[in-house]
Amino acid sequence: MTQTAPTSAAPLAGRSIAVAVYGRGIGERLAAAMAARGAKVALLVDPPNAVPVGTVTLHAADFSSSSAMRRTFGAVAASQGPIEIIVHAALPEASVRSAALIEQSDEQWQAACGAALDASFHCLQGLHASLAATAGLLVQIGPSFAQCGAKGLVALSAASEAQRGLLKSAARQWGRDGIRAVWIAVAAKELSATLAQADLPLRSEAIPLPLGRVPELDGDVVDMIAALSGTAGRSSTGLSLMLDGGEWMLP
Amino acid sequence: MSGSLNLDGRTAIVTGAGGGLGRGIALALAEAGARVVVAARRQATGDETVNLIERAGGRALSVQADVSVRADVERTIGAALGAFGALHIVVHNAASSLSGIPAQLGEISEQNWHEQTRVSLDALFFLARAAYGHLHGHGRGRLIVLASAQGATGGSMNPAYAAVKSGQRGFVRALAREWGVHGITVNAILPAGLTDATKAHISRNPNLRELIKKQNPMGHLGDPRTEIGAAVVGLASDAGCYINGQSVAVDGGIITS
Repeated sequence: MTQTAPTSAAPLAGRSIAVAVYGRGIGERLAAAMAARGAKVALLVDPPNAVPVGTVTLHAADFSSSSAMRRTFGAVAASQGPIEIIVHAALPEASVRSAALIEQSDEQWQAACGAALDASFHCLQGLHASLAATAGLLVQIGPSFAQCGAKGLVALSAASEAQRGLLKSAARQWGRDGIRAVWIAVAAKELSATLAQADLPLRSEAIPLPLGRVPELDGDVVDMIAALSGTAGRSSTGLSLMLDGGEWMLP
Repeated sequence: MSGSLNLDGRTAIVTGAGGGLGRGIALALAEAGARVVVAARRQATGDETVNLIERAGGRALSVQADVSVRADVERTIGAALGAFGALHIVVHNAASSLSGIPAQLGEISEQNWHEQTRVSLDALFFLARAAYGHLHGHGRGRLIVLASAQGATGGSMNPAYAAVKSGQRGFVRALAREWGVHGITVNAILPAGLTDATKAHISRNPNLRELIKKQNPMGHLGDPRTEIGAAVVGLASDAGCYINGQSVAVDGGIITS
């Protein structure tokens, strides 16, 4: 195990990063933003139809299997160097569509909640060996409203909070390997155009954000990942950060 | 029991009520006046709980059910309506027997993972969806979920258990926002209860007794009927009518935030 402790002003430059995203939309933005800061970035996606961006390398990932994910992370490490940071999210398209719970079929429930949760379970099981090799950082991203709930989004709220519980447990068990795990909650509109239209409890047009703007995935969130990956973050694990401009102020 | 904690005339379903916390909760609800449907995977243990309720003067019905199976959930609700004519309170307490077995995240099998997600999350979905039409309309609908402090803090013992219990809290918050307008409250309880299984565990590990005394400001784990069950009665009764979307720690003060 090698301890990582970059202290440069550009803490992502030269770092080996994997972005593992189940579902559409956010993986490309995150990967491109980190590559633009000089990181070596692999984008692991399912469905595998992401658009290549700059120097980002694409890997089709099978989130339905822990062993498949383990092999893919191993392949990334072999090609770009031991992985120091893994950024993960699991937001299948079915989970971001609003629907009253009583109108959901068994299949819709599984696609929205079960699939999202299974994807994170397999991803976390698959990444452990790669991240333990560098005593690296795991960052998982989810919607901020899940910590408060939203009508029409019971499945996503359940899946997201279950993912967060799983991440905290990983932080507890993997601290001895030097692995840190952090949850970053972001505004719904940064995760999905569909979610941006959802009937969320607080909406910025009704209650202005204290900071006046919605933090951006490829700016504010990447800044936070960079900070967490440096010495400023070395004492933090298992925590949940709300990057929502002060919308909820939880806990 | 009189006043706002009185549950006379109401019908409750308690899952996982063949023993432990579920049995204590069923006994407490019956003591408060509710007619209780005892759902248990094993008919014999459910029958034992019913016998205890009836010996104390209450009314109850035992239904053998695996609540991770949708048909069993629907049959349980049908039995409640058939026997007692209405449904007011659903308490989802059942958990997988695998939840108490220590495991490293990397070693949890697919079978273990899916059993825990089915019993804790899929069953909750089945129960809520099937019960809605009966909880709605009388202003006294209650869905109460027995979650866990490990869902709030993460757990080093069994990550799958911590995950599904955290997921239940997310489910509760979201559904509370969806159903509040229909007069149905949805809440979670995070218990620290002394079950027979816990007693056996402590007897095998005497150091645990001292650890519990140190961790718990009240120095003991909660009695399933008089301490955990009483809190469920409070949420289920008129006294709990304006509590919605909450995770209430009933743990003697282990979690204080």
